[in-house]
Amino acid sequence: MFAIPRLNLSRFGLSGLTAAGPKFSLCDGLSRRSFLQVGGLAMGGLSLPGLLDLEARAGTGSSKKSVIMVFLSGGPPHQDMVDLKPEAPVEVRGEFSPIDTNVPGIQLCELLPELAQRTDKLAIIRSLVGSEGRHAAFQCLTGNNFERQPPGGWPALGAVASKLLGPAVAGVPPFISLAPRMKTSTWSDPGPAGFCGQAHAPFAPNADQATLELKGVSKQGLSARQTLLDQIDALKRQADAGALAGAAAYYEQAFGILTSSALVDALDLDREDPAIRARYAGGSLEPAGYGDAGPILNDYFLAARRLVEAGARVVTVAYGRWDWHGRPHGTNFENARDHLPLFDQGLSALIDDLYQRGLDRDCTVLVWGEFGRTPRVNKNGGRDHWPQVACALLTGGGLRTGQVIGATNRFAEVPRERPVHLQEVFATLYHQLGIDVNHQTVNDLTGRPQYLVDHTRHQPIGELI
Amino acid sequence: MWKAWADPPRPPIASPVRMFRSPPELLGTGSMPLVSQYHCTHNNAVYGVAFSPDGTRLASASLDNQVKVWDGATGVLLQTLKGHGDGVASVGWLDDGRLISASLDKTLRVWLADGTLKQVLPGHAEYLTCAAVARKGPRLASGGFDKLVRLWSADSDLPQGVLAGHEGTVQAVALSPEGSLVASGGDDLKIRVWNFAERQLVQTLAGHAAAVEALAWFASGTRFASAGADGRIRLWSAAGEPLQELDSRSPRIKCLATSREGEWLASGGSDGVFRIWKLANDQLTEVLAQPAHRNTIYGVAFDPAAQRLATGGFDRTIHVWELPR
Repeated sequence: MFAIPRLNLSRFGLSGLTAAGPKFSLCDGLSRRSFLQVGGLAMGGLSLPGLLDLEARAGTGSSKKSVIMVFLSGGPPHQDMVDLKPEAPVEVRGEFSPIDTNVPGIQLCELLPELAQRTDKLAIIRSLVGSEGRHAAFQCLTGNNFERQPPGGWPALGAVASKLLGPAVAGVPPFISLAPRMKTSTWSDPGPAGFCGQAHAPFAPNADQATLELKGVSKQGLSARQTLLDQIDALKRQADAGALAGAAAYYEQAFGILTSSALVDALDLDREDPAIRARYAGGSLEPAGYGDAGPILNDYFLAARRLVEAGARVVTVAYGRWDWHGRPHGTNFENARDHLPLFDQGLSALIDDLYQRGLDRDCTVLVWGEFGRTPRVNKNGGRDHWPQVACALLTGGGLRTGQVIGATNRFAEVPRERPVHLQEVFATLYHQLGIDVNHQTVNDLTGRPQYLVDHTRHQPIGELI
Repeated sequence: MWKAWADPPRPPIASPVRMFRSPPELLGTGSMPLVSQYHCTHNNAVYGVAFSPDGTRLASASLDNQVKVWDGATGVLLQTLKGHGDGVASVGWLDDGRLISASLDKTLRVWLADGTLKQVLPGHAEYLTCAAVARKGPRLASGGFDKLVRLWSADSDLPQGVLAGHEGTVQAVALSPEGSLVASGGDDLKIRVWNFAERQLVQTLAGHAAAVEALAWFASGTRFASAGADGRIRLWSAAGEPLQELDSRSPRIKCLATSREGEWLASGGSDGVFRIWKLANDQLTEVLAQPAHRNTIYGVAFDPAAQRLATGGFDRTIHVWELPR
């Protein structure tokens, strides 16, 4: 008989996060599961067994391939960014003009002058199809429809990478979401673990708040890890050897991950070269646009780069608020003038950074939203949802950039050439991570093997790889 | 760790754009380039600005759901008024110092000078997009997506009237200086002039080729101006006589304001430029055009002496400009 000692983690600046421990039986019969309250680092259900599983896999999947996915919450206007139609009537073409880029024959919106100078490092998909039209991050994160999911649900790209590849670096979770909490919860979805299991849910340091603080985790607290582990040692000594000794070992290892200095250092943007940080600088911590989405903040791009450099395999970023229906919340074009210059700066800085650091071969960046926008400007100066076609930008990953894939018709309503299904994009991302969508399966909760994309119809994009 | 973008010290600036890069051609190309005395920011688009009757305070309304009150001379933040459940579309001062805010949350709110909420005036069934405050007395008017103009008194919790007739969203309302007449305009391209006391339509005026988005009465109460998405400004007599139509050179005018003394008109547009117009002999003449914001200007306001102009824009900033004598 013994009582589980309560660890006073607040002494270590660690309060707020729950890591579910393994089930075990105590002789008093009172506790079946223990919980540790650890910092403000929402782990999205990353359990101790999961953590240990990841630890056990460390080194087994040592590839440094990674993906940064930027989700433009709400659906960006493809025709006002990368597929302008200057010959269309004004109610279609809108207010912006195209500008030439550093790739002859490719034009972008005039509000993207920095990206225009880096178009040789971009692959632009103008004919993205397959959106199910839901106002949610789900499809962009998983590559699959929300409806009719297999038992356990579709996992996010990062969850699959976590399950199949494990961590690339011990102490750095393979799947990290920087999505903050939002009023529109379907946009703040960090990415489901689905049938991969909760052990592969994303590490989500911003999930508790939009202020991008690692709440409750102070450097002092982290430096007290050893003291913390001393307490765990004390716990071990009190434990019945048959019942808790193993659990304490789990905890010890779990804390090793949770308080990894590599992870914390990556999230500490103060450690970045000020000159590089200045390239990204821009934006605000406040919710963008209507107030129901996350901030538009270029620190996200920088953090994503630091995290993949530290060893994360998949980092997802929710950026801004792109659902521009018009007045009274500003016209599509006013919102574009608000968002696009920041986006132009932030993504350009990320591209420069990846290439200058030599990460451009290993890290693939994808930028997209859940759908496109209506060709015709509505009576309130907005553009509404348009699942028929959308756009995506890719860079890095050793992809063949400096090209446009696909084309739309004269009003950017539907693909005219080479429709690219979003599962082709996912097949490409899996390919980039070293996962073969033609053979690799993951069992759903019934034990049935599930392919990650419908490989009978969708393959990695040949033009890119 | 993570840090918000930090506000730098707030010196007078020549460049009005702080958070975002500015098109280099935006600034300093006007015929009389000005320097803003100070600038302030909201966390989202600024939808309205208004100087207090004594000029000592400046109020701003924002899509961030807040009203902020600034020191009119220095731009130091004095109050942040919270409570609206959606963006604040308009802000104005009564002559007794009470502050009126109107919000997309379908309510108007009356605030005392110390920032205490005094009244909430609900009524609109859909987004409230515009409101007006009489320069003298307690009369208020508002309009919205429900196509209605609603009349209010800041001294009463009861609605003072509902004016139906517009066939589209009401985008702009303006009260004559003493509140006897209400002008309203909107997506039906029409301007309607109403008698406040009798709740009667006096005139329906046509002419704009696109939505009417801004209205303002001159201090005399005998003239008012309208403007909107066609980029044109029209001058009318109180009786509805068209006096002038001119091209503002802005693709879309979003706001108008007149001076309390003299016959000055300010306009702000989607090009981020504000313009000052002089009214003389029933003709408006442009006297100043100043690139000011990186995005659409949603609010303009003269101080009581017409020596300064406040502008607020979708770029989240407010600038106060010293006007040439």
